[in-house]
Amino acid sequence: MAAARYTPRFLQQLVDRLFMRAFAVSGAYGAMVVATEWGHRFGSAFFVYVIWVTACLVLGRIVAPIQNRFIPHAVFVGINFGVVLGFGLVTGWSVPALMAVPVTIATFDIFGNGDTRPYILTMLVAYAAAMALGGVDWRASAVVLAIGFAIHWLFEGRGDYLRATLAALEESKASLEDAMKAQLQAEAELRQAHKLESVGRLAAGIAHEINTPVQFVSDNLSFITKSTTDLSTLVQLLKSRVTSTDEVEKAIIDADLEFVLENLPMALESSRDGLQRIGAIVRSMREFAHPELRELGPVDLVRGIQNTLTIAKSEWKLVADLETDLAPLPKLLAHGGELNQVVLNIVVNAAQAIRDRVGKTGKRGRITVRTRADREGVTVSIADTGGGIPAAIRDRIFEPFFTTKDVGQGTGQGLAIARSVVSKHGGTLTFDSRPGEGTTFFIRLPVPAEALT
Amino acid sequence: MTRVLFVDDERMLLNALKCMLRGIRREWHMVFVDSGEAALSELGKNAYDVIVTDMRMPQMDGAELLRRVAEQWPDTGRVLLSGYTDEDARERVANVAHACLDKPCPATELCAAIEQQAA
Ligand SMILES: Nc1ncnc2c1ncn2[C@@H]1O[C@H](COP(=O)(O)OP(=O)(O)OP(=O)(O)O)[C@@H](O)[C@H]1O
Ligand SMILES: [Mg+2]
Repeated sequence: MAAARYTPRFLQQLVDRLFMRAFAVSGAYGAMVVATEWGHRFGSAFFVYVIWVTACLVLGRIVAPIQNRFIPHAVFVGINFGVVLGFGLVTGWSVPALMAVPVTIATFDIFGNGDTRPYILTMLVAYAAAMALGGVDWRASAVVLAIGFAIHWLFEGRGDYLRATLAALEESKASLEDAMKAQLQAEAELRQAHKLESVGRLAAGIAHEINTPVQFVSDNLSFITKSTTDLSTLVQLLKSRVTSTDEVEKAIIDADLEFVLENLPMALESSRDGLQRIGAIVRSMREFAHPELRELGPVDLVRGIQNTLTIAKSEWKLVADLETDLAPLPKLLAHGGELNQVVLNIVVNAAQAIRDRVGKTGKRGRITVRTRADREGVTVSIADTGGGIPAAIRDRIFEPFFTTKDVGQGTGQGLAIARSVVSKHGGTLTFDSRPGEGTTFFIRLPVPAEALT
Repeated sequence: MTRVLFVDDERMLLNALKCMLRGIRREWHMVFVDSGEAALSELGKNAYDVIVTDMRMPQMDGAELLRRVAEQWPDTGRVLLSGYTDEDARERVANVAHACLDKPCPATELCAAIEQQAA
């Protein structure tokens, strides 16, 4: 590709640009010469220069649109030619000839739309003519042109610069917009991926939470079934032969009556408990993933928190006790599913922090979840007794992909997602952490002005 | 008589197993404990033909327990009865368990697995 940059077309353009710029700047420098020549008359050369350049720009601004609309190029070129030649001959002075240059250049370089070459050529010819006819001092003119070229190399042609800047701004705005769109897209995809991942991880725990009671409920049921058959056999026997105690005795032993009578109520009780557990998990799962929660709508955050804690139970139950203090909250206008995700991410972090701390010592930590409502809004606080967040990484935990966990344990997106969800809802996500004592995260969310039902 | 040690942190599960397996109490001698630590101390006191353990338990998990059993009592048959075994746990357990069963596991399957280990 490098070769393509130096094609004849590119060189042509380069020459064109240099040509235009050179004369634009030499014109501006001409203005400086005017300023110095007139400077002693007005006291300050710089002052005159400023006035002169301003006049050129203002004139350019007026002349360009008029010329663009009403005066054909040829006529304008002619006028310029006349001005330069006329002044040059009449005054015999280099200044008027140079005066016209910056006016023209300023006109076309800044406000016109491009090609200044005809005018520059006009200037040159008029200038040469004036010189040939003896009206202009060639040395002064040569110096002016030389310095003009020099300045060209130092400064950009203003018009081109403005246009280029504008174009570059346009372009970077467009590419920024593209990048922002791509970023949003990528963020949404990541969020989805993270959700799937955490659901996958939870699925393992949920499976365990459900399968254990299923196991003991069915074991109980086989016991109950068998016991019932044994009992009915026994009852049959008792009914028919009330007299023979030996036979009854044997039947009682066969039916394992004592054990059965002792354990039947317990088996029924624990079966009911197990089914209730399964029911609660399944219900929470259904509510956690309810399609309605994908939309913006009235949200009962306390309920969402309870569901989330039930689903995430296997994350913390081996290492921590859970304490909840859930004051009722007004309904929020929110994406319920996303808020559940925020709570889940923070609770999972809390459980992991505690697990890291207690390890296999057999000690247990504590996760405390609290809700409060006040005039400003609602606050959910999730506190753990983990190892705390070291001061050195406190600024970084909300960064996407920042993690201190092993591959497979964490992707570093949990808090980044949580924060973006909370701020999308107009709230804040902050934390307070003491190394060695634990960490508390605070989710603060605004409540809608009018009560939602 | 076959001696079987059951380990699970869920007491209700142990009770249900006890009730369900009551019918074969004359063929098997069964002991039920609720943690890996308790299982190790029980094994220290009495010999067992088969140990059946859960995977997810506080402190020592099933894989760790079976690893220690394999080291100290290599003759004891090792069965894992787990609600869910993730990739990581599956790997750790692959070398130390003779059989892996998934909860919920029908009584016949569980008994068959235990018998097979005892033989
Ligand atoms: N409650 C906490 N206690 C101690 N450290 C924490 C706590 N919460 C977060 N951190 C630290 O902040 C880091 C970033 O947390 P974040 O939830 O964003 O990612 P992760 O937990 O590492 O991975 P992921 O949530 O994607 O599975 C964690 O790696 C951990 O070092
Ligand atoms: Mg996390």
